[in-house]
Amino acid sequence: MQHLPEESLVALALGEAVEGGEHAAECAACSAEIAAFRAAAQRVRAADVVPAAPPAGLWDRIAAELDEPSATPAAPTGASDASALSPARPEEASTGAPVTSIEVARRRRRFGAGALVAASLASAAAAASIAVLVVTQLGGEPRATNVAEATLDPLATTVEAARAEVVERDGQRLLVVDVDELPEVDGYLDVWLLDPDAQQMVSLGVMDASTTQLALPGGLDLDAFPIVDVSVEPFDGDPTHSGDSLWRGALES
Amino acid sequence: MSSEEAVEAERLSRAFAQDPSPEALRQAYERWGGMVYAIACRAMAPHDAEDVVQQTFVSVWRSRDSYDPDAGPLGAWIVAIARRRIADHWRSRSASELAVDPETLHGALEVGEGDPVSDAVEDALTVQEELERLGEPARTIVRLAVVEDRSTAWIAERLAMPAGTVKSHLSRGLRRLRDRWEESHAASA
Repeated sequence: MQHLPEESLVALALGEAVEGGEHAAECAACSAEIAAFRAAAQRVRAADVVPAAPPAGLWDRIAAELDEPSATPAAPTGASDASALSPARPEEASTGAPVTSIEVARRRRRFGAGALVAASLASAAAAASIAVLVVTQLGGEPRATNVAEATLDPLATTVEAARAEVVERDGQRLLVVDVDELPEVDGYLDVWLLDPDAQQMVSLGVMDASTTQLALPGGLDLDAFPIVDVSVEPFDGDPTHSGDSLWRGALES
Repeated sequence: MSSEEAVEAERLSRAFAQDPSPEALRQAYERWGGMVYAIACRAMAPHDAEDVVQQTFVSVWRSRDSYDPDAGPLGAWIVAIARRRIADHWRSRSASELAVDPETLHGALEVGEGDPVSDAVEDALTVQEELERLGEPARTIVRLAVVEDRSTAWIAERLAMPAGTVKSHLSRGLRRLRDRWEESHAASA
């Protein structure tokens, strides 16, 4: 007679009746398998833990530690700290705090910045493999806030899709353009921001590395110029757009 | 243990991978914090277990960029992190401190130098990690069948699933737990 299929062995190990189960009584191989499954089940039972409610206030302490990554474990005052973990309006919580309010507000904003990065990453969920160019870590060194980002579609067959991001660091907005490989071109690459109709544009500067950072003019309204464009510019002394674009994509905040 | 919970675990894994927001962390804590706490309580006094839960979720947040949903569900990843934090806890305790409590001392003597976690805790970690790794609905099915001793017919009705599907999930799930068990014991033997 044939050996029992694994599903039947497992069923027998768990004490269920199975068609053809009588075979197991006479078969050393099947009995051994059943015993091994029974032992595995026994072990799962023994090792299973029933989740225990963690003490109240533990989440607040986690939130507080994430809020204040430096060494001082002093959990800042009280219950409202959990609210700092809420992505919504991090500044709000600072009102009413006494002497330390500035310090607290500063910390909260930091955590808020993290939430903001996360939120804008969500909009890029489609581009799951997107490189996070400026990582805002809690307690990390460079503190940059992600303002917006774009996937740059290739407009020429010679290049792959690329990425762009607007980050804010120390009050300065930067456009970071990241391409897999800098193509060889006749001339140089120029980075632009265009209005939605591609009628008006602002030149940001030369792209000379696969990851290039360019400062954004202070008063520039990103809603008015949401399109990132990278063009090939010949060395012809003409400061206007050549019309020969390699990449283009819309920033989304 | 319901099918809603199953959907919830999967949703949390996806949400955390796509958008590791503080809110997603809080939800992961609500979902798995109690389990990590229960495991840690097997290994140490409740007060220390609280610290381990805190360190675990702080680590989860700080290494959120390295979570890869293709490598396994979020719960398994969190248990793997908890394993390290529990090991850290034992490493940081001095021998004299451990010697005070006979039970703790026993735990300390049981363990090898590289991985100072007692067998019982190791088992709890391994089983929980593997259960989480099974994903849903296999995890729920294995727990119902093995831990709660429910029949496949009962589970099939409860989860509104064909009995054959329940059986195959159960069989595959227990096979993996068994393999993992035999693997870890072959490795330590």
